[in-house]
Amino acid sequence: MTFRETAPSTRAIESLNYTSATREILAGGLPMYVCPPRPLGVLKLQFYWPIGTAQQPAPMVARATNMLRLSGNKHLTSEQIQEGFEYLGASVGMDVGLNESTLTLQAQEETLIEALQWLLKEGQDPVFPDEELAIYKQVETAGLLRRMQTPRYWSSRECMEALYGVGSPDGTFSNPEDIEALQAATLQYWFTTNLGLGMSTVFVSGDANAQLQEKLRQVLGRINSQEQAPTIITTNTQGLKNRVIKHPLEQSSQASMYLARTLPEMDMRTLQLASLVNMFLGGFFGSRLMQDLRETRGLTYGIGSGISPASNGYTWYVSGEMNSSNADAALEATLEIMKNIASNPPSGDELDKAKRYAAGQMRAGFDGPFALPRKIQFLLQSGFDERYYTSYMDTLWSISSEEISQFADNYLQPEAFTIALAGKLN
Amino acid sequence: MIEYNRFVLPNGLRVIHHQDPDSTVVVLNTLFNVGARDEESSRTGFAHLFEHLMFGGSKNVSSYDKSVERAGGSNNAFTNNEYTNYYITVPAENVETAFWLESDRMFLLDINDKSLEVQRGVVIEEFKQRCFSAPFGLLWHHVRSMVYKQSPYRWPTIGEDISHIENATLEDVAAFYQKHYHPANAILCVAGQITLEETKALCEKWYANIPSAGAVNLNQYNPEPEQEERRFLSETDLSPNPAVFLVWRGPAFSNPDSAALELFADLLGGSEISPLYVRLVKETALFNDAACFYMRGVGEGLFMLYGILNDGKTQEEGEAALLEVFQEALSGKLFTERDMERVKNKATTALLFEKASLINRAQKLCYFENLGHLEAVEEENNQYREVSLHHMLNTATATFKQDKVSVLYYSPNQSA
Repeated sequence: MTFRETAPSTRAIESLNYTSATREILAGGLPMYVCPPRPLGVLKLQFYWPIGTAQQPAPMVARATNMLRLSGNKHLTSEQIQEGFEYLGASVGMDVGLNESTLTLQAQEETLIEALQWLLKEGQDPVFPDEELAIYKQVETAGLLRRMQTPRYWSSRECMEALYGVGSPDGTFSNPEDIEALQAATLQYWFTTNLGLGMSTVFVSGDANAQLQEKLRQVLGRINSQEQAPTIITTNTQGLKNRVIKHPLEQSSQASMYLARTLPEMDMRTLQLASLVNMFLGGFFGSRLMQDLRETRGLTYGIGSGISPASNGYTWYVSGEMNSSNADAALEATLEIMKNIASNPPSGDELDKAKRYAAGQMRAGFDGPFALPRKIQFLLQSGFDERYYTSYMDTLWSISSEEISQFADNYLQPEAFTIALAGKLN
Repeated sequence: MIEYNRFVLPNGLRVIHHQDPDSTVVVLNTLFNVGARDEESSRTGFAHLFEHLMFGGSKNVSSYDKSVERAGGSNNAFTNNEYTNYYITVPAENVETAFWLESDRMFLLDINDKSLEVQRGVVIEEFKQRCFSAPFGLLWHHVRSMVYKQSPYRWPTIGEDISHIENATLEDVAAFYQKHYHPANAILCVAGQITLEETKALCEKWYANIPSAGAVNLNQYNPEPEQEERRFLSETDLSPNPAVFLVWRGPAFSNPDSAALELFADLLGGSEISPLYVRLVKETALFNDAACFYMRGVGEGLFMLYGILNDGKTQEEGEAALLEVFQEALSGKLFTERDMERVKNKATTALLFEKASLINRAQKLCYFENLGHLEAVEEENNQYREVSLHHMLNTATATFKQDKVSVLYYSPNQSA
């Protein structure tokens, strides 16, 4: 017997071992989180708004507004504004999710303040020029039409529309006519009422040394905090559940399946439990879906599951792509695996391994200079406080096989999932 | 600055250590100097197929992935035309598991009929998903087959033809392993919360007894002759819009001219304020996307200039417009010294952000070691900084001849 035959002992990870960001209120009232500095020479300054597509008055408004917020003001064109950032070696990126919008300024430590001042000077009063909006529509429409060629796009769209209802915040998918209908005045209104810098929370990560932090306080402190417009209350229009929808795409050689159901709002412990059950299902390489469908039977390249935030609660989904001749077998196997988690929950070694994996991944998720803002934003979105992280390991290690079985029995029965298949279907 | 230590084990394994006390994890990044360019023309896609097989377990590790997960780690890999790269991240306290796993599969990989059968199926699905189920899925098949006629760069990493994967035998893959997966043909970077002493001790324990089984791959292949003519290919695609691609070969990463060409590409078509985008997307609305980039590979470089046409526009119009802006750029009329400074500043920032990630640092160190110039890892920024506007334009003019371009037209597939 050689030393190689015995695996080195491994320790279960029992602490996250991270340093929190500090939160302060700047002179103008803006909240700012500063992450522990790292000597990298670069920083990210992120403005975060807890509002996104779930609250928008019409499809694409939230996204178009944020994407076009630097597309021109009364004095400068889009190119002139952008050139100012690039000359400083800085870049600005915008993103929009279901319940969030962000603007991220990335720059070197020496030029960050100058880039920020440029943003404050030229980025606070956009006019959403018609010509820029027209180009945006053209580019977005072309991209949408390309996505519409793929089975994955249609399986997820059909499933979510059926689950939540067309037109509901979670079941809204843009069509070319939605893009065409965008009006500058609507974007202007959305910007003024929701996306002003004074309505944001600021996150600083990277090389924010003490001197730079002080400069940031001075510059950002001049922004007066503003109230966001009251969030538009939206109600999900429940679509038809328990349906199997098919969307043929004859030109495709593959099929895509998407299964989804709603999950209610959950407290911290229940969400952790749900995440662990999801891991067993399809949340990591060792999951039952991945091991059975891909690694044992070679039916698919991509298969997985996840829990994503919805406007009220969460969506639990399973998705996969496969050769159309494998679609029926893959769907059947998926439903069987879902059903079996309640009756045959992970225990013993399987449970221990998954907990170890989850613990390691949570720890790794905090590693790196730019990791913390995302973690804090998750707390802001879900209404949790930092105890979610400080108690994470204790909660994880206390979850029992019985709890997993019970949760799966409550929420993972295949009949509760809406199923969509798209692509070349038999 | 990336601080590192380098040492070589007697079996030829080159090890780079990089300590990051702020990290809570350790990354083991292993680069094998074998990629698609080392494949035989009748067995393309093997380097990538083999990457999948490396996760099938080894003599002392029945399940690679389960062992990684038990240690709280994660792992992945990628293959390109020039090398294959594996990386595993584990909490620092479980670093020895990573040494055990990575060394065992370098030494004693378990290649068997079952794992080959399964991974062949997975790779075939990946091939279909990437190439046949999305717009522009076969782009690199078409581009490479047009630009390269003799060298193995003429096929993409996923393989030239799906039948090559279907026909792969156990003997084929075993021979591939024996030839390319041994210490002298590998570079290991150990990065994160780990000292040099620990790294040396763990390397000694887990890697030193792997026999030396060959030499460094010299990556010898049929060289590609100079392209002396315009080449043209017209294909159909799932994209609902027609598209035009113009491609030229260029110098490899180690040649400083490649940095100049990367800056040229960024100036011409790297952002929404670049002339390509402003002129052809915004001002004339000919395209809904127009851009260009320069890929600096270990052995080859490629410059691609492309546009996706709006409805009602023809590919001939598109090609003419792309070339008009391109020629104007080469003539020097479009760029100023301020533009040059701008694009260099962007490059500097991008490099700093790239190095902020521990995995990126580990991969970069392996990449530069594989080039044979580890010390040059700190010279990247200087390479950009030293490029003058004059040098950049001269290099681009000398490299990209309009009568030696490869042109690809894509038309929408009528059945789509």
